Amino acid sequence: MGDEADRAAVRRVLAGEVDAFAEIVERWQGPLVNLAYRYCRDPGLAEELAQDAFVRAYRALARWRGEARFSTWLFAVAFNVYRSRLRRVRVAEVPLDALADLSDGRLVDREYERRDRDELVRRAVVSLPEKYRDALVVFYFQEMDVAETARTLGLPEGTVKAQLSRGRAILRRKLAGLLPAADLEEE
Amino acid sequence: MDELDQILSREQPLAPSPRFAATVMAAVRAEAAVPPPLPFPWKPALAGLAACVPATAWLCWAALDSGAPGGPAADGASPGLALAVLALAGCYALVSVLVRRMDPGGLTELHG
Repeated sequence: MGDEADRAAVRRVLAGEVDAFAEIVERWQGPLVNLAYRYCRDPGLAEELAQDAFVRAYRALARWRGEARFSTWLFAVAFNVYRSRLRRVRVAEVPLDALADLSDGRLVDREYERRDRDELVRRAVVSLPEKYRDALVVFYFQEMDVAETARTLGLPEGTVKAQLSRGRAILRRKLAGLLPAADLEEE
Repeated sequence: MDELDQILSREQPLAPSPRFAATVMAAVRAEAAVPPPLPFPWKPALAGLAACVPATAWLCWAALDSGAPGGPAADGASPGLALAVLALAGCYALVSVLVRRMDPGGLTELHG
């Protein structure tokens, strides 16, 4: 139903009804802002990135061939906008080496509530090398669907699986004291 | 699902600010109001480039020929250059006609 509504809105926009794009914005503003937030951990910058993504999507709307779901295409456009913008704008990352120092179990018990620890782990994802960061951010955003992640990233599924595995291995190593020992044994 | 999966997948959704959609639509309307940039006229340019190939070959031949003893340059005239220009114009016209025949829209619709 959602995809059909998107297709109808796209047809109207392409017929010259610019305001029909508002339906697309209403429907997808939450996901696009959240995807951006997972990349930058900054709500203001996330909205700025999402706005850029919508404008880029509007400009490229005629190039959507309608073979894939509209959301898949939109996320791919947004992903490319975020990745290229974040190459130029440095976000507040937690250096992975600094995390290794913080990864002391006692420190976590005393100083970090679970939410703080979780936020630290999510920021650690942003600090990963780009290809692992992209795979992990999109994978968890897409509710751990490898096929959808691969379509969004424009990569083969096998490549995505390899990047996910490597990225998680780096995270587990760097966050050794923050994560339970069981997680480490999976490597 | 391990702890890492749980942490990364259970993130609280961030709600866009109330004015976000309106701001985006203002940017989209501004984008829609800007006339699209003129696309580069690839087909006429390619026709011109294609015409240059035989014209350049002719020019090279004429230049080499004029340097030869007793060649056309010997009497002060430079028919090689004039012929090269003629060849360029002729080739361009020929390729343009061929492109028009391939695309009935003609060169006015070839842009982009």
